[in-house]
Amino acid sequence: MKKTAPLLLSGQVSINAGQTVNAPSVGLMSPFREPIWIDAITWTMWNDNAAANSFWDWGGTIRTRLTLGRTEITRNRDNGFVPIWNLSPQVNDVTASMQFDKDSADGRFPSTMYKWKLPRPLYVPAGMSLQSTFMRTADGGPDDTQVIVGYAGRYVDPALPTLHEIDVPFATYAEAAANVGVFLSNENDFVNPFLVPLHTQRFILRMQHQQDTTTPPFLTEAYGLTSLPAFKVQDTFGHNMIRDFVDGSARVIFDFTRRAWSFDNVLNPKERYNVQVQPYQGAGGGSAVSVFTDTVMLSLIGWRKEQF
Amino acid sequence: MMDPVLSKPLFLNAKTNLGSNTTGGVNAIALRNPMHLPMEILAISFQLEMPGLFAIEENVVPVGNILGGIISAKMDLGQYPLTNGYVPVWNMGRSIQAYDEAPNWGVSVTDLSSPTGVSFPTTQTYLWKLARPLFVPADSVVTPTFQHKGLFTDSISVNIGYWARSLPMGYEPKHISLPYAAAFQTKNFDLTQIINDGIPQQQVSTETDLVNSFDEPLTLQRFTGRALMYNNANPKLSDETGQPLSAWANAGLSVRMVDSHGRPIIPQFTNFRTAFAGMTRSWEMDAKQVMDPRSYYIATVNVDDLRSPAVDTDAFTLQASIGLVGWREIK
Repeated sequence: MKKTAPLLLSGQVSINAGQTVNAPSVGLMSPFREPIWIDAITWTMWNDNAAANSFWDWGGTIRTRLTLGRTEITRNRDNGFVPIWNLSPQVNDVTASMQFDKDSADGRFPSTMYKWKLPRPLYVPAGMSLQSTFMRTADGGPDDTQVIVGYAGRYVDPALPTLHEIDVPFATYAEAAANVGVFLSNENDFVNPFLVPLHTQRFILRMQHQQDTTTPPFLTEAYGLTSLPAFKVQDTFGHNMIRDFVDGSARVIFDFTRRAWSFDNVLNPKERYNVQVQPYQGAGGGSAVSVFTDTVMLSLIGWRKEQF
Repeated sequence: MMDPVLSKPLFLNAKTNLGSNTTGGVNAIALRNPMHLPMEILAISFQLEMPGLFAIEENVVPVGNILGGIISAKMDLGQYPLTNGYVPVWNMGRSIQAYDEAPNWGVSVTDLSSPTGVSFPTTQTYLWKLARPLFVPADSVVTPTFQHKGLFTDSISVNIGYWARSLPMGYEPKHISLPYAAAFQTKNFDLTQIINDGIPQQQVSTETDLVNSFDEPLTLQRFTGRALMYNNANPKLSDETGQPLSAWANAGLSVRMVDSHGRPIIPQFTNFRTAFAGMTRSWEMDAKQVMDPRSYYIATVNVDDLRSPAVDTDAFTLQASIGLVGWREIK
C-alpha cells in the first residue's frame, strides 16, 4: 500500500460532572471529504477551576463512546462508555501522563493525557467521521473540564479502491467495587457480541481511588496500593485462564508498569471471558475502609472485521 | 541474511564541553569503528550535563535545567547530511522516561548563606532509536557538531554515544537508509507580555525548516513537539516536563500545519500535547506516512494566555520546537 501524507484531526469539549457531550464532528472529519486512516487516538484533559490540595486523574471519571456510523467501537452495559484510561496501556510513567497545572505546591488539578494506538488502523470512508461522545460521572468535581480528542492518522492512497471490509477496533468494559463484595462478570461483559471472530489483544486494569473526606473528593489512580484485589478468569467453556485467587496478584497478572495483560486470542461469536474479582480489605495499606472508595475498572481490547 | 557470528555489538562514544554560545565537535576518531570494519548504527544517545551550585529556596522546589532544548546537533556521514542544520537533541527521539527529563529537585535547607550549600549537576539523556540501521563504511564516521544556544551562561558537557554492530569486511548493502532530522524552533515568546496584553502571538515556519530537500521521498518516523520554558528572573531554571511552568505546553500552545501542496496536515489549531502526544512528546508514524521529494511543511505555532503561570510577577519565556524525523533510501 502506497504511503501517504500524515493527518491529525481534533475536537474540544467542555464537560461538567454528570454530563454527556458530543465532540464536534466538524473538526474530526477529513478535509475534502476523502477517506482517511486513523492509527491512534489521543485525549488531553484538564480543568482550570482548581481547588487547593486536590489531585485528580480525569482518565477514570471521563468516559468515551466511539462509533463509526452504526458500527460500534466501544460497547458495554453502560451504553458503550469506556473510561479513557481503560483504552490503552500506560505509556511512560504516571507523572509523564499527568502534567501539573499551575503551581504544583498548591496541588492544583493536573492535566492528564492518554493515547490509544489502535490494534489495526481504522478506515474511515469518505464523508464519515469517527464520532466521539463523552460522559463524565457524578464525581463531585468542578465544572468545565476540557477534553481534547485527537485522531492521528493519514490520507488514503487515492488509487486504493473503496474498502468494503475493514478492521474495526473494539473495547468493552466492566467495573466493580474493589473492597466490597465479590464481582462476577455476566454474559454481557467481556463477550464477543458479533457474528464474526473477535481478536482479543489485552485486558487493561485500572483502579480508581476516591477519598471522600475532602471537598471535592480526591480522585486518582490507586497504582501504589499495598493491597489489591485478586482475579480468576475462565473462558466460555470453563477452562481456567487464571485458576486461583492469589492475594495481590493483580500486579503480577496486569503488568503494573503498563496496567495491561497482553495476549493474542480469538473469541468466536458469542464466546466470552468470565471474570471474578475478589475484594481486598481497606486501601492504602489498611486504612479505614469508609474514607476510601476504590473501583476496579477492567476493559478488554481487540478488533474484528466488519463488512461496510 | 548476515551471519550473526560476524555481527558484533559495538558502543562508541565521545564527549565535549561546550561554553555558552559556542559550537564544537568531538573527537571523531572515538566514533569510528576501531576494528576498521563497516558497521551499522542502531541508536544514538545524547547525555547532557551542567554541573553547578544552585541556590534553592526552603522546601522542595524545582531547580536545575532542561537541557535538551539548549543543545542542538548537526550530523553528517561524509557528504550526506543526517540533519537539516542544527536540530535540538530532544527533537530527534521520543520521550521514553519523561520523569527523568525533569530538572533535578532541590532539597530542604534552612541557611542559604551557608558557603557549602548544595551542589548537584543537571543531567539528562535523550535517545534516538533509528527506524532503520545506518550503514557506515569502514573508516567512515558519523560526525556530530554541537551548538550551545547561549540561553545560560554555564557550559554544558555533551556525551554522544552510538549503539552499533560491526559488520564483516567487504560487506556492502544493496541500498542504504539514511536517517534524517529537521526542526523548526520558534522565537522566544514573552509570556508575561502575552498575559498582560491578552493578545496571542504566532510564528510561522519557513520553507527551509521542516523540509525534505532531497530527490527521494522521506519516510516519516515521527514528529516531535517540545516546549522550552524558562524564568528570566532565574536563568538557571528551565522546564518542560511535569513542573509548574508546563501548563503552557498543555493548553496555551497550539499548532496547525500544511504541506507545500497546501494539503492540511493539522487542519485547525490543535493543543500541542494533543498533536504531539504528551507522554512521548511525539506523533509516531510507524513508517506509514511519507514526505514528497523537494517538499516542506509549514507549521504555525500559536501562544495564548489561556493559562497563566504560577508566578505572575516573574518574566517567563517560551520557545517551542517541532521536529521531523524519518529516513530516505539511496542506492
